Amino acid sequence: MGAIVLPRRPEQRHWLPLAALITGAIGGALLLRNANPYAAHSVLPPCPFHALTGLYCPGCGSTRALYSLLHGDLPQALAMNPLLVIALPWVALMALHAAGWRLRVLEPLLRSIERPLPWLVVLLGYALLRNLPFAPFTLLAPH
Amino acid sequence: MYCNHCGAANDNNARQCVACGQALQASSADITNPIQPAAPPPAAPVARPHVPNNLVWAILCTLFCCLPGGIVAIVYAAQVDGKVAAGDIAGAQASARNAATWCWVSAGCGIVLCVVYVCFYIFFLGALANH
Repeated sequence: MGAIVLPRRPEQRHWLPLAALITGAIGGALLLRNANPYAAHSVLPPCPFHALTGLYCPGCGSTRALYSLLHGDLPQALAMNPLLVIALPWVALMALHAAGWRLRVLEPLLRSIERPLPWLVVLLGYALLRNLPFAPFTLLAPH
Repeated sequence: MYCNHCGAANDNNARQCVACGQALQASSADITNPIQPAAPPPAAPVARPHVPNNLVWAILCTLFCCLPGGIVAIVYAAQVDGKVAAGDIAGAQASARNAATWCWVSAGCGIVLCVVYVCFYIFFLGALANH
């Protein structure tokens, strides 16, 4: 028999990352209440990937989109990072699910959105398409 | 052996999972009948443990941090279910751990870059104000 290891409580283990995420979200919301990422010399950092390469990554415009969402301006948030705005409720659901939150009605839905490959295709496709400099695709870049 | 509830690796003699506390059922066939030649295994379907793939953190890192780390994390997260289906539980857990590691790496890089930027910003503003 090996050394006796006291089991950690499962709830505690699962809820820790979600608690950290919620703390971060509240901190971010408070920060965005007091700092404006649209301002010319904002204290909020720009996307380092865009600053280095001039290309848009899937996260470009996230800060501005969250700021607009927080101030109730959904069209402006969609103009900055449409995928982020669309993905946010699904990601929140997945974070709750990963923390052990189970709702029978939502189980089939969560099983389909928790498949990694579609996310990989969507995110890589998004990264590619939002850098195309012509008509429909420029809507995907911050504008 | 692996826990059927959370997929954590456990001592073969363990009665309770070290990670989640679930009672463990030892597959004791080889312990009780050590001399008997290998019989064909029963055709009952094997219960696959659920290995959390850390996908949600990988997506959050892709959407909020620099691009490469989050994408690598999603690639590792994508390997988890396939490896569980193939019976490679240790491999699935390794992929899940890799996904988590890449999330930490890109979250860490993002936070460090933000802190550096804010420090630079404050220093720059201070220099400008003194000027």
